[in-house]
Order: sequence, then structure tokens, then C-alpha cells
Amino acid sequence: MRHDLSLGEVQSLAAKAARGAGRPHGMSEEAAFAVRWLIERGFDGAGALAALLQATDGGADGCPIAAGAALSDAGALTDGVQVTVHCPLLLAPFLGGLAPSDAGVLLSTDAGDVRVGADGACEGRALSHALGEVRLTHCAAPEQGARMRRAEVADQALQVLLEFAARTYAPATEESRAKGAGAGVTDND
Amino acid sequence: MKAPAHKSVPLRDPQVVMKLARMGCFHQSRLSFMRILLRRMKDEAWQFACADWAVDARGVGHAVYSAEGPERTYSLVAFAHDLPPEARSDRVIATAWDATFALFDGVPEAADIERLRGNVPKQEAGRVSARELTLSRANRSVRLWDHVVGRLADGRQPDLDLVESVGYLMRTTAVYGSAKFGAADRAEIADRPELSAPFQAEMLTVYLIRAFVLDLVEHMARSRNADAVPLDPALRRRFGIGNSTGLGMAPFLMNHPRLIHNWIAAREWALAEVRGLAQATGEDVDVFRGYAARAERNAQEWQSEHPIQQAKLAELRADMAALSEHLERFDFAAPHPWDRLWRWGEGALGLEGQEQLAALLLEPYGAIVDTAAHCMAADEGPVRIDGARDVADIRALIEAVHPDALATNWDAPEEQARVWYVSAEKLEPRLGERAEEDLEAYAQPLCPARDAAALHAALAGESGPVAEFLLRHPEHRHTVRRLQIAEAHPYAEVRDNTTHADMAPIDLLRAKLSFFGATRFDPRSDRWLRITMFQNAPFPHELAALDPDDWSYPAP
Repeated sequence: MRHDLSLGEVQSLAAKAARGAGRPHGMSEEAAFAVRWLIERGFDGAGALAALLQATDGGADGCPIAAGAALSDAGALTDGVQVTVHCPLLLAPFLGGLAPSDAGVLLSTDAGDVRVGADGACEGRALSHALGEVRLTHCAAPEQGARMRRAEVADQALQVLLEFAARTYAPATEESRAKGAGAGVTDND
Repeated sequence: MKAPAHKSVPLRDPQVVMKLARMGCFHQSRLSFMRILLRRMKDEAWQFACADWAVDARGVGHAVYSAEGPERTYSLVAFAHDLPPEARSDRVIATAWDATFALFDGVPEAADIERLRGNVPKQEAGRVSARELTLSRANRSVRLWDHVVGRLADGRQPDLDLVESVGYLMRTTAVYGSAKFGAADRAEIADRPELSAPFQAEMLTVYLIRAFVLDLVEHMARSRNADAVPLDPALRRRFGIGNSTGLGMAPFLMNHPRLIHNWIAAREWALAEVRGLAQATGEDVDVFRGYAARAERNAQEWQSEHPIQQAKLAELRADMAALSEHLERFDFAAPHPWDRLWRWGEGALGLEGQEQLAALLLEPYGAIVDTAAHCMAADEGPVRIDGARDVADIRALIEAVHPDALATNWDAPEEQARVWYVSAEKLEPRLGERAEEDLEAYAQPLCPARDAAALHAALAGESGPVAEFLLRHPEHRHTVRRLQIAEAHPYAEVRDNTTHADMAPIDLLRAKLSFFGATRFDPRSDRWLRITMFQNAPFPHELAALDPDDWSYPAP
């Protein structure tokens, strides 16, 4: 079963799920942008994040979001650099900004490759979610493909993300219900 | 003698504008989203129709209202329900409403109506699709509803004082747009000229809801007595649509920094343009005087039972009286009249009066300022952090943006007494007491000032590119991003402490609602309130004949 979600919805859910798995706020924002970016380009971004959070719940070792953010912050890519991460697909959204204009970055793994262009184009196929070594090299720009305008999210991934997101909600208490939203005895007139 | 040249007036300092006390005094203006919508629909001669009416004598059923612009048609699909009184609540945690709505992108087929009938009445528990732009619901003002139905059924008009004291027959609670619950993403409509300004789909929804609600009340009166009279058209316009708004709206201002910057910057630009005018024509002055008198009347008629608002209304009334007196002897013929008037106001008026004056100064100058409406939307795509920036730069940025936060003793309990969180109960946003409730793990990052001060301290003794610091301290990542946004968007950030014990969330709500164009801001606590929308505005069928922009203040 797959669910039709708006892109904004899946982005918001991804941010909450990453936060629920213990990622800092700023890193959760990166995760959300990455998921939306992948979905827009036809990749299963939600499934990748669900797999990542399950594999790294509470920790951040081998996190492709953290690795991608660090590369993006540095603003330049050393040709041939290698990183070891889970769910390497989640690195792809960070690579376009590191490619020279009119060129691209090749993300290669044992299980397959993805190419990302400076213009945000992305082509390749689904990669294994397993922890593994990734090599990043300069390459020719990929072709620009069609962009998705909705997210088709598999039920299993959706449930995983919803469970992580639920950790960010404070349990309901009578006190919170009565006072937290500032409501009085009645809000009718 | 040469005419004095247009002088360049600088925009107001964000340290002045973006304080909670001042944001809590913002007023609607020509650049409010309701007014932008009605001006456009009037200019483009939009056509409106009740395309479908299937509501029974008990007031249960559905109706469709269409709004046809030059390129596209939008349809409000309304479902009317028979709600038992004990189920009526405006809070997010409610599960039933008197009426529920979706704004459909186009003209719905029968199958669309049935799909929406299965989902829209459930609100958050249902799903809408890419064909829907908004999802909303409303509850009746029971006492006014029953009064109006009864009077019309008796062949009489309702009591004017009662109409004035409530102001609406139904109040919306949430009006969800942009991707919520499966609705179309903002990106789907952002390129359409008629929806490119902020919240136009939401404002159109409420505008059409108002038409539906007034038709419904007349229908209910006719159902009771076939000889019931319709509302007198002038009295009919006195009904706006109410809105109950709670805490959920407050985080929006902090979660959309670039958008908020664009709203404020547009208004500040407009104010500076008017202040920069060398002279005012007699006609301009007459228009201004007319609106100033109406604003004074508005301040007198505006009622609230909440002590915070009562104090502010007293201040506003005194300010409007002072303005009125000053205008009697003010020399509009001397150069730069508006800047002189503004600078007088900065010294003589309180925050309420100053912000009212800022809105009034725009009224005569639609030809100059209305174009700013095109600059109020924002691209809210990802913002890459410039990690090459030196730590010293980031510290200097914090010192420039958040000087007050650096002078604050954050260990004092009152400074971070509050914690923003989201409840598991229907995801209602709430505000807790940090010391009394165990909420730290659920805290939302809604205190940029506190976070900036913490970052400033953490950066002490650091050097080199901020990227290296962020590798070791990812917990400061969101703060660095916000600061880099604020550097390029000076009105993006609230320059105040949003966790202080005395912080009133209604100040944030007032700032946002003023940009919507809301009137009669009426807090019921420090964190929820009622407003009125489109009160006195022409109805869709009247828009071609009436002024789209003259209704936001009481009649002269």
C-alpha cells in the first residue's frame, strides 16, 4: 500500500522524524530538505530516511545527512573523497552545490551509482541502504528529468516515520490540556 | 521657489520594528492580504456564483460557490452540519463543527463532492488531495445565529446592537492551506498571479465562506417561515466572519523567517516612500484626514474584555485623540508633511498609535504603495549554510542581530520560563512552564534570541571557519542558518525573548493577523483570541459595484 502525500507534508514529517530519532534541529531540517529533494527527482527519499533512522536511532555514526551537511558547509569537494555511510542515497541532495557549473558529482557504491548535476538534476537507480563506502568524483552533468509534484510513500516507510515523529509530541496531561493552549472554561459565544 | 525633492527616508530599524510589544500593535493596512485579494478580484472583474445548493430545512447538506477569474475558477465546497451544542468547541482538539469547507482548484464534479463529503467533515482526521487548496471549518455564534434566524423568520431585521457586539454569524477556527492534510503544495499555485501574494487561497476561502454563511442563515429563516425576509443589504455587510486563533499561529512567524521579512519589508518600504514625499496634494490630505477620523472611531468601537487589550485600547483611543487634535493645526503645506507628521508621532504617540499612523499614511497612496504586494511572497527553499564564514563573523552577526539577548541573564528563571511544545493530543501547539512541567525533551526551537546567545557563548575561544565548529556542535546548526538568513533579511527575526515569563503569544498573533487584514482583535487569554474578517466588505455579488478597499475602517 502506498500513500499520496503532498511534498510539504512529507518534508514536515521527515523533519519531525529525524528530530524524534535524536538528530539536532538543524540536522533535522537538512534531512527534511534531502527527503523532499529525492522525492521530487523520483527517488524513495522517505524510504531511505526511514531505513537510516532505524539503523542509527539515537546515534549519528555513518549518517549521510551529517556527512552531506559537512560537505555542503565546506563548500568544495575533493575529487575522489570517500565516506562510509548508511543509506548513501541521502548524500545526493548535498552534492549538486559542490559540482562545478555544467558538471556533476558521481556518487559510486558497490551496489550502483547516482549522478547529481550542479543544476539539481539527478539520475541513477535505487542504492542499497546498507552501511558502506561511497566514493565521490567529478563527472559530466546528468540529464535533467521530470520533477514529481506529489510523494507516493510506501506504508511501511510512512509508519516508521510517523513513529519517530510521535516521539516529538509531549504526552497529553490534564494540566497541559487545560492550561497549555490558554483556553478558558468555554470558548463558545 | 523650487519644489523640495523626494527625499530618501531609511527603512525603520529592525531593532525597533521586531519587538514583541510593537508587533502586538500592528494594524491592518493597504498591504493586508484580504485587501490585496479584493482589489485584484475587483480589477479583474471576477464572476461569482452559487453553483450548487443542496441544504435541507434542518440546515444539513452541501453547497458550492464558484469564483471565476481571468484564467481559472476556484470553488468553495461547503458542508453544513447539525451539531449538538455540547460538541461545539473552537479548539484544535474538537472533532465536529457546524460547517466544514474545502477550496477546490477548478469546478468540482459530483465525484469530487462525494470524495470531499467523506473527508472534509473529519478535518484533520480526513485527507484531501492536490485538487484542494485549503481545508477549513466554522462554528456558529449561537446567540446571534438564533436571533437572526428568528427575526428574519418573523419578517423583521435583527437587532443592530447585537449584530455589532458579536460581528459574525460563524467563526472559522483553522484555515489550513499549503500542503496540509494532503492539500496542494504552495509550489502548485505560487506562479499563478491571482494566488502569488501570501495567503490568497486562504483569504478567498474565508471570503466565500462569508457569502455561504449569510445565504445559509437566510435559508434557515425561510425554512422556518416561507415569508421570512432577507437581510437588509447594508446590515448584511456588517456581518464578517469570525476567527478563533490560538497558539498554533505563533510558531509560524518564527518558522518562516524569509516570508515574514518580506511582509514587514514591504510595509516598511511603503511607509518610507510616503514619508519621502516632498508634498501632499489637497486630495491626499483629505483622504488621510478621512481615514484618520474613521480609525479614531474604530478605536472607540473596538471592544475587548481582556485587561491586556483594554489597556491597549485605552492607549490607542488617547493616541487617536492626540492625532486628531494635532491634525487640526498641522501645516500640510510645508515640505515633507508626512515625514514631519511621522516624526511627531514617534515622540507623541504610544506604540498602538504609531503603528496605526503607519497604516493610515499608506491609505492615500495606493498608486505608489500597492505594488509592494508583489514582493510579499517568499522562496522558502533550502538555505545552504556558508560554512566558510569565520567564527568571528558569526559572533559579530549575533551582536548585531541579538544585542538584547547578549545582555540577558539566561540563568534567571523568568528569562526562559516558557517552553513551546506540541501535544500528542491532536498535535495541538502549547506553551508550558519550563520549571513546573517535564517538557524539555519536547521543546520546539522557537526562541532564536536564546539560541543565538547560547551560540555566542559556545563560540568564545573558537576560531576558523564555522563549518569546523558545526562538525563538533551540530546542535547549533539551526541557529547558524537562521543568523545567515537574518543577515540578508533584516526583518526575519523577532528581536525579543519568546520564552520570557511575561511573553504574551497574542503579540505574535496580532502581528500575523494584521497582515491578514483582521479587525476587532479580541484576546480571550494571553494565548488565544477572536478576530473578525471581511466585516463591512462587499459581498461577491456586490464587488463590481462597491469599493474593494474602503471597508476596513468603520463608515465615515
